[in-house]
Amino acid sequence: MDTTQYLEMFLDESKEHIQACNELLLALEKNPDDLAIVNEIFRSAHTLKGMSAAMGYEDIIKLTHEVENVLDAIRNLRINVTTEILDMLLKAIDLSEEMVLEIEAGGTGAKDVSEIANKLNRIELDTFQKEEVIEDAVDESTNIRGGRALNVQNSNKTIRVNIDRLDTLMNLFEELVIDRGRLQSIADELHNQDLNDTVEHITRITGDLQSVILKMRMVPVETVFNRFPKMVRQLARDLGKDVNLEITGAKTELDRMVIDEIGDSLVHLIRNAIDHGIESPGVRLTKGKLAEGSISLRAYHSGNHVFIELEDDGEGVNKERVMKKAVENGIVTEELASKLRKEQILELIMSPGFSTAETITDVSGRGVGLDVVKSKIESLGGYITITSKDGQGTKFQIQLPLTLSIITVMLVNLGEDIYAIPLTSILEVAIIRTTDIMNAHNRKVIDVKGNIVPLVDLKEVFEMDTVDEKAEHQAIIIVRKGDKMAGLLVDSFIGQQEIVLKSLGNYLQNIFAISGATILGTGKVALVVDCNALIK
Amino acid sequence: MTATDSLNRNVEVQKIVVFRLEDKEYALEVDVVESIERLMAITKVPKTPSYVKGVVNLRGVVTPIIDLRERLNLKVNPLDEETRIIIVSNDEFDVGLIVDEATDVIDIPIDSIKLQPEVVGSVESEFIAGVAKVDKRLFVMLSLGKLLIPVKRVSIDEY
Repeated sequence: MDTTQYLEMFLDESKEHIQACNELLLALEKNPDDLAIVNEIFRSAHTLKGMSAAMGYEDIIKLTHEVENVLDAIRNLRINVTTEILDMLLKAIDLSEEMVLEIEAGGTGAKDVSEIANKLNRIELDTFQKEEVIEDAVDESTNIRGGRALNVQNSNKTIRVNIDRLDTLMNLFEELVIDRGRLQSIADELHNQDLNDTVEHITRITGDLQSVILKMRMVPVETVFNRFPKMVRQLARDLGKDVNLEITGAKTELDRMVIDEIGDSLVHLIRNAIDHGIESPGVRLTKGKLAEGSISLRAYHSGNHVFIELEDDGEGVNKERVMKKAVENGIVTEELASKLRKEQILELIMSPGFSTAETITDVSGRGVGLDVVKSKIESLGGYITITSKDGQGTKFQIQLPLTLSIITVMLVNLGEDIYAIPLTSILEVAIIRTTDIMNAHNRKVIDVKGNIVPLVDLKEVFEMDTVDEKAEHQAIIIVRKGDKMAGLLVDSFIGQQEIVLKSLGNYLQNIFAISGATILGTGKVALVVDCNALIK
Repeated sequence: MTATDSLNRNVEVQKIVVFRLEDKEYALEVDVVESIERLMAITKVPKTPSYVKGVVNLRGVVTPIIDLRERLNLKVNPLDEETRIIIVSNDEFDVGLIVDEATDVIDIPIDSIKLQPEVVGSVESEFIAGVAKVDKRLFVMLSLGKLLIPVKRVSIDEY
């Protein structure tokens, strides 16, 4: 049987069931007596087995079969749920996930599963000997337990749509918007009431259509948050720590693109919190804290942004150590370090080349530091801030744009072309007198409210013909990156506008100081300036 | 020559898109051609190789445009009424190629396609998959692989 056409469906659904198994196993750990959960896991594992059988993936079948047997033994009360059994089940699910991912990558999904399968088998066999002893107790207890159905399956009717199709829909929609603009200008000339009414109606409809299309791209952050509980559990056990992860706001929605990009950064922050933040239970007790450390991960909307906060109640950032390390690694000079404010010291841990871990562990401190997290978030148009209280914990706050696809920009003229500068980078726009431009070390600078700010001639950067005309006034845009500023010299301002950000595609990669493009009302393409690249 | 290999499969004819550069006829397999467009407004992209003329709005998709003459090291000509943009695609992206004129879409017998002779005009041979001689016309078959190597910019200048 040719199964290729079902492959995508198999991959999607098996991932879903694997995720469900993971979540449910963790839920079971908290409520070992809840047989309803066991039933749910059994159902997911069984579906997984059935799907694999249809596709012919023998090793997944073998593994899930053993998982089923153990679960069956649990629900028939032949064995009790122990941490060891849960570990083994989680491992088995992990292994199935590996196989599924391998299939996705074009592999055969074949793996040696015998070790775990045998161990599961042994767990299940051991129980047969004890079975008779317990049997009497079974009848009553099954009736009492297992009553509450666990509501994990989302009952909403949904279909899967490839994100490429949504992009196509968006592209077509924009064309519609451009045509609407043309229609509008025709109607303005003709002064025909019927035409005006129709155009107005189209305007309303397209507005609604836009918000529908944008909503379709939004997915709840739980799609990334989901994998954290298991990760935290595993990591805490590996490091001999006791950690409780509390997640709130998992239903908060974000653009699919942002979600895809943010996952690794969050993993890094969580690993950091467990490795460096949370102390070992012994230390915590002597400090008068609960032995169990807590990490809370929160997501919420505010205005046009989504905030994600990660807070731990660990030892906090040791400022002296941070400063010492920063001086050692040449990030700041000793003289400068002594002048830094508290927040600035904290910022240091996110600078490139900084890593405070005394020993390089498997968990964090592999040279890939918080600076990578920071630049990732900034490349998404977001910010990350850190606050820390000695001995009480650290909090990272990440601010992200709701969507990457629509941004507000300032359109400017540069020679014959129109460029867009994202409003998130702009501090202010100004017209200055040419005589106000000063020279410092052969670089043009201007005075912005007492700060000396370097001037960047965009036409020069973009290698356009610069006419050295001595205009009396110059249009500049003051942009910032963190606490650094620069003034961009442009020909003239056009105005502020919401645009749909598009990529330049894979043929043109890493174009200097250009982060993407957009299509203007005229149908022409305008490039979007990446201000971060322009500020050193 | 992978392109020729794929042509040599048991199919008898190959459909090709024929276009003109200077006075020579060039051709691409029809499978890689998405569409043929008239000239449209091109937005320059700074700091790219000079054969990249910029990007256009192709029905909502921002598509890069390459001047094929310049890419093949031919003499660069001003664009005119006959100028066409041939949109080609590989698995990952679409790119538009500026050509002097799009002339034909025809079927040619597979076995008329030969590996390129040692010297074919002044066009760099790495871009050429082979030549096809049909009746009295000679088509230079282009190979997309080398033509569509992405433009990458790694080094960062001052600023």
